Amino acid sequence: MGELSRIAVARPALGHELARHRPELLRQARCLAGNAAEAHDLVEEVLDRAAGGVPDGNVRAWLYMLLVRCCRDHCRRQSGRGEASAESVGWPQVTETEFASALGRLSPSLRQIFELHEVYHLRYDDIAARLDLPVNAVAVKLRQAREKLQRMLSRALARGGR
Amino acid sequence: MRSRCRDVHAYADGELAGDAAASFREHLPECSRCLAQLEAIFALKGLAETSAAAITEAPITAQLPRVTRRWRPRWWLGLVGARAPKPRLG
Repeated sequence: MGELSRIAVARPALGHELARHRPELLRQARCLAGNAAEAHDLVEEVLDRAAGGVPDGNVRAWLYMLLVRCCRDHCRRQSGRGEASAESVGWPQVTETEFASALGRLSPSLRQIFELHEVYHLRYDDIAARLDLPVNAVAVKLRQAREKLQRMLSRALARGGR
Repeated sequence: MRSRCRDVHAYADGELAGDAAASFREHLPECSRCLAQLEAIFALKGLAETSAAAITEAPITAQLPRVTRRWRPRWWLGLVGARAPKPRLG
């Protein structure tokens, strides 16, 4: 029985909520893990940790951060180190309105690349071909877009980190 | 900043090749800066995906140049289709 089935039996509402995010979790886990089996294990570990309940706020953002921490712990175990402690979490407290407002304040060229990558899930080379840019320029602009969003959302992050 | 730290965005996006990705995974547990950065990147991914409905209502991608197709009668398309090689899909 998978972790999701166990959660669905014990807590149907939570199981349903987590099942909604599972395909995207697996897609993101494939970027982090070395192979498909590891990605599957990472997602199972995320679901196991989420079985205790999800916090208020943006569940997808929280699950993705949990995925990163599971990946870090997985890497630690592989290199013979122990588990690490959990970090403070502020990101899930960012509201959709705050995020949309920050996104709207990005320059069109940065916003366009951010949306093509994070909403339409295009790879760097696809975006480069579509916008007639070098692949490096796409990578740089995507990084700039993220850094600007982080700066713009810093107030909401400070609130969530308390 | 260590050289591996520069790869954090490419790693998060699945754009690092096998050896480079493996090397970054070795680096990740010992670098709190990369971990924090990776968490931020993934949180933004989550926020963007959950705001996708609002974004796609007024997408910036609407400003992309589009390949527009002029209206043609069916007989004209048939004529062109007979001459041009058919595109291979998949």
